[in-house]
Amino acid sequence: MITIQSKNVWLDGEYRPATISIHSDTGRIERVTPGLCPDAENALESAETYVLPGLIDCHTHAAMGGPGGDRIGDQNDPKHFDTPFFRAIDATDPFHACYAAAEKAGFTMVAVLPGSYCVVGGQVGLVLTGLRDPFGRIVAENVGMKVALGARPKMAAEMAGGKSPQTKMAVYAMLRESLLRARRNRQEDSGARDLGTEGWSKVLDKQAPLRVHCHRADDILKALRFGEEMDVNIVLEHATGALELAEEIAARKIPVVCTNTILRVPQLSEETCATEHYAAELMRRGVPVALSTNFPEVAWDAIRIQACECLRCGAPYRAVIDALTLVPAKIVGMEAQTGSIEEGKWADLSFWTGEYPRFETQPLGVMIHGEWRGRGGRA
Amino acid sequence: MSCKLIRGGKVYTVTQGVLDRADILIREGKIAAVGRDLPLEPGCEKIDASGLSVYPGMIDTHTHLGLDEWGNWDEINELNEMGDPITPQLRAVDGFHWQDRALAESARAGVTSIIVHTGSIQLFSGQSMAVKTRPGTPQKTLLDGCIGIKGGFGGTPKAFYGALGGYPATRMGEAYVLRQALADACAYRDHRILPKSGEWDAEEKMRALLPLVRREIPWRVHVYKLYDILTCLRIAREFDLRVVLEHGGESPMIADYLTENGIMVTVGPSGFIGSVKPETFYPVLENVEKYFDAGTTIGFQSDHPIIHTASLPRAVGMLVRKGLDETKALEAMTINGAKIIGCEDRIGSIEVGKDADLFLADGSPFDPMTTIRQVLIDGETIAREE
Repeated sequence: MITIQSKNVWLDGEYRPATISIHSDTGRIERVTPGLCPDAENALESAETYVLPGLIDCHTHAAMGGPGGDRIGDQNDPKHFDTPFFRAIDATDPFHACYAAAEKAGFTMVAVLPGSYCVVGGQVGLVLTGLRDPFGRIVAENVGMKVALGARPKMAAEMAGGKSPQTKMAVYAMLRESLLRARRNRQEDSGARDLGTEGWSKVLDKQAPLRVHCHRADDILKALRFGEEMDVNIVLEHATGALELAEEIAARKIPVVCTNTILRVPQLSEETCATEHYAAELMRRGVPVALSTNFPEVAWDAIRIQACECLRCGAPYRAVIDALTLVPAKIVGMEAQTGSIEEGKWADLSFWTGEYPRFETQPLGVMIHGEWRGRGGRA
Repeated sequence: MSCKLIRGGKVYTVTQGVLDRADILIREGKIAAVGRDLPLEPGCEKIDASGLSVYPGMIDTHTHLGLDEWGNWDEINELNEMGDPITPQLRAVDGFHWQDRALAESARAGVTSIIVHTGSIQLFSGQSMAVKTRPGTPQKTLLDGCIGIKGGFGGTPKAFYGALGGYPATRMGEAYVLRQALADACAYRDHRILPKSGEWDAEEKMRALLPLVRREIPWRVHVYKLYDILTCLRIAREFDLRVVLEHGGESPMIADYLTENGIMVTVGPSGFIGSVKPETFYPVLENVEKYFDAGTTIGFQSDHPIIHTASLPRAVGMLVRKGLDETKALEAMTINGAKIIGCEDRIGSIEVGKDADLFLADGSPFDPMTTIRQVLIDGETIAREE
């Protein structure tokens, strides 16, 4: 049993004194008791250390090859645009140095997604940023289906030499057809295994969301209508035009994954509707927001710049921390296992010298499934 | 006569220390006086800086701002004239989009001067320029004229020309094409003879390379791997060129040599973004202290639009938070940037006689919680936020 005691444990939206008991065999939090226990040991060197859940990035293309973050590389097939049978987990390199860098930045879990040049890119995978057991690193192979609306799916087809889809109508039709085909196949149940149909199953059963890459308000509206027409859960990725539909999105409790707007320069005209403050504004209007690096678009550490901008623009502190813990945990369907410090959940924790993400606050390492990691060990 | 008095701020002069509760008098766009309790003359606009810090405008030493248009990379992408690896006669100023909104956004973030480069796919892609981030005409905003000949070396040129089935497809090919062009330029410099290639634009190219082979302007070369850097330095020695290393990748390993030979480096954007190109894997930011320890002059760069120029101070802030001395980081972003442009007599510090390019902030520009309250360029208020 590992015992962690701190005056500053993030519990229920506040920093509180607490004692956390961790079962190193199961890697789970056994007990969380309020207050400190002077008689018990403390695996932390200082009881002033701030203890947060391990940070979670729910939208990355980490270690998925390719020459750059926005080029096709290994994130998308260059000639096939309806690929629900593709799994991003098959493209990521868990031994790439970027995962160690993620640990150093306080991340304990990262989702890997296919890129946005395909209408139906494939299945979202889940990876722990570190763990001694390499098999244990792979948490899940299918926690969502990545799809894309907007300009990028059209560009890919054009680059592939005039294939479909070349219009927004074709993009949307391909998306509908892909889902409806999977639904038909399940109803017919010929007994043959079709990996595309299997890939869609969790979304059709509302056990995992459709992760919809979109920017402009008209594409966001398409995503909302698609979710209602097809009766599936959706998550909006980037959705830089979301402020126009903030009430509708908040009312439907649809999460928005806000990727980096500070360091990033809009590339296409559809991306020009964001302001740097849109994440903070969405938080204030009650939209569940996750913050994400869209790694490798920016360094892991740069998420702090985005988080600080949210605070500077008046977003509630709790919403900013939730955006890196609880909300992404829900988006990837793992809120029962992680995303907060609670009995029964995985001991995925991050340790800091002060309130994250303030400038002076330094990382002190992470714990993943009860294993000390980063900074050579104990915080 | 336009006059402003910035009153009572904490003034980071960069070259002469930090002055608490000091005043800065600005006349006709220049810094006229720096000191305590300067008198407020009639007709002079007072700017209250009490409780605020005042910094020299910061400098982004490598961008493609205005050539890769904000929000429109598809249509406006002016970096590389792919047909020919040697085009030193092309000028960044001729492709620059003066209304690109990234300029105003950068000014608002306290970055008041930028270097704008042509691309890194060609070996000599064109003439770099430096410009202030204020709205206006080139006559008002351009700093000096051509400040260098830009090009790439190493993995990037051969990846593109090789893939086109063209030449050069190897590093040997890259070095040869460069050295032949430089040899031709020296022959033109010394004897006014044109190269044997007989190209229609040969004379233009030679004229464009004259300032380079006369050591009036530097070769600004995009390069990462140490062995590529050594090749570039060898070529520079052979033709007696001044050199600035762009990105500079693995060059911390030879920081002492760089210092001894007056070679400056513009550091970034590796480390601000996740590196995926194998050429860029060297952890520059973890090794940036080596430059400072050796006394190498380095600036920082966004490589806009890889990251936004406006975000550069906060990106550099990631280094400051990890332990880089804030004073050194500020020098790199100000006076060193001015040296890298070649106009350290005009900008880069708060000193009498220099351009009044400065900003007021409620904290360090490296801290993402800081609000930049007011930005002045040439003494004119360009941006203000309450």
